[in-house]
Amino acid sequence: MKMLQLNDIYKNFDGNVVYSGFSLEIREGVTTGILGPSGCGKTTLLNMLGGVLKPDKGEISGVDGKTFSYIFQEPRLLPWKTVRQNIEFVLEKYYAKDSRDRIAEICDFYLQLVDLHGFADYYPSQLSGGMSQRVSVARAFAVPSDIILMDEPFGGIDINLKKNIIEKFLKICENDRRTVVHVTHDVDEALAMSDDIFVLSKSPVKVVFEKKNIKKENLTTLKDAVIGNL
Amino acid sequence: MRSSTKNIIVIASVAVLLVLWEVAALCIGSENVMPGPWATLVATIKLFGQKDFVLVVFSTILRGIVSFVIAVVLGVALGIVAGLHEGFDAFMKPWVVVMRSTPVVAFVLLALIWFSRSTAVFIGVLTMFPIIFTNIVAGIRNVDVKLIEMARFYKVRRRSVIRNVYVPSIAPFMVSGISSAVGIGWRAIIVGEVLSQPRYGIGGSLQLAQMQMNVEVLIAWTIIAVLLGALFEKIIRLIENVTVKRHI
Ligand SMILES: Nc1ncnc2c1ncn2[C@@H]1O[C@H](COP(=O)(O)OP(=O)(O)O)[C@@H](O)[C@H]1O
Ligand SMILES: [Mg+2]
Repeated sequence: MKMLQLNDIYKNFDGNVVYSGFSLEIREGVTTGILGPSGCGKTTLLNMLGGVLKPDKGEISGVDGKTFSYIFQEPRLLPWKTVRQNIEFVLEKYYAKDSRDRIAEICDFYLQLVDLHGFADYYPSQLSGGMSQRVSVARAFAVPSDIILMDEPFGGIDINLKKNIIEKFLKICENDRRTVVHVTHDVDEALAMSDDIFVLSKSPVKVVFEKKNIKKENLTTLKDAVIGNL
Repeated sequence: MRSSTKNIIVIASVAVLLVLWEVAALCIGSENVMPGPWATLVATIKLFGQKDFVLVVFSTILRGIVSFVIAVVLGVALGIVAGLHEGFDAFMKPWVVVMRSTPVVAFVLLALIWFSRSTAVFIGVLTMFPIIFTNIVAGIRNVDVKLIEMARFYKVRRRSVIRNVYVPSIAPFMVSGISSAVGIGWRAIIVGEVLSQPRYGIGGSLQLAQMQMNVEVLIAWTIIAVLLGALFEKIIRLIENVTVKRHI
């Protein structure tokens, strides 16, 4: 099985040691949920995986030449561009100038998957928070990425909308398996969406709990175990 | 409020102004000190027929355009640098504060000594530059770092980030900077002309009318200056509507 590996990672911010001799293996082609106290270094971990932040020491393997998508806590859509133009904005570099039709097709396909067909020409200000976040999910999948990094993506969304988005997400994943690394502080969300989970400690970060293939586990006992370690 | 109602109020306001003006003219009872609206209108129309009219007006407009272009180029270029580097912004701050708070007349008097003929252009640049500069800096500060980060994470090309993230964020600040700069700059240039007396210019004509105690002509030129100022504002509004999309 292929892995993304973090090997003996060190990272500090002005003396604030966040990672010190940290190692982690993330399976490719599945969704990995990462839980941990706020401020422990989860965002830092995603940034290092995505290559936008370099560790002070240590190496990250399995990421070279890979393409990443991101789903942030906020939708982060350009307010002066329509839904379609927002998706095109991140797609442009993957397609030649003359493939506008192809890009439009891809936009439509992924907007359909998140139930937003018909909203392609809306501006973000005309959408609800939940709809905007679904656009950002569509954007992440529309990019032909190998790895999708999600940083507490459904934190600000109310519980019913959240269920709806998670369903959409799982439905897309059925047909479009990518490596997903999903940071969250919501245990239920992690258990509902992940194949593997890790619970991290306060910084300097250690893995305090991990479980692979959680779909085969008893969810109530697993949930108790996760909460006990959080 | 309905726009038709608003229009009626505007017309009423202008009518009240004209009536007050007429009453004042009647009370003073001397065309040489206070001509009425009618006499002024006649004088204004006569100005259009005067042989140097076009030359006078276009000389002033040209000074406006030249100083505007200089102010925009400097303001945008230095504004971008200052917006991106706090150190340079700190360096520029005292200069900008001085330019913004010194009375225009003080600059005019100094410029008369230093530049004589091109005083008005210098004054135009000096009044417009700091306004544009400050707005560009504010526009760059206003760029949402989260959007920039998003673009960086998705590895969007630099040129596309500038065109699709930076420019649209800064555009509203740029437009509002330009529109207030033009309003203030236009008046400052005319003040500059009053004192520097270039061969042709609205300011010079105002000054001449004043020396000849030709109040009708003085007010007539003022009206021309006001109309031109309003015209520029209109043009900027039009450009604004075309360029700055309002979906924010
Ligand atoms: N760019 C940065 N500069 C300085 N300190 C940072 C920076 N990014 C993160 N940190 C610090 O590193 C620690 C981990 O941050 P983060 O990865 O954002 O935590 P989490 O996402 O788990 O809440 C925090 O103490 C935070 O203050
Ligand atoms: Mg975080």
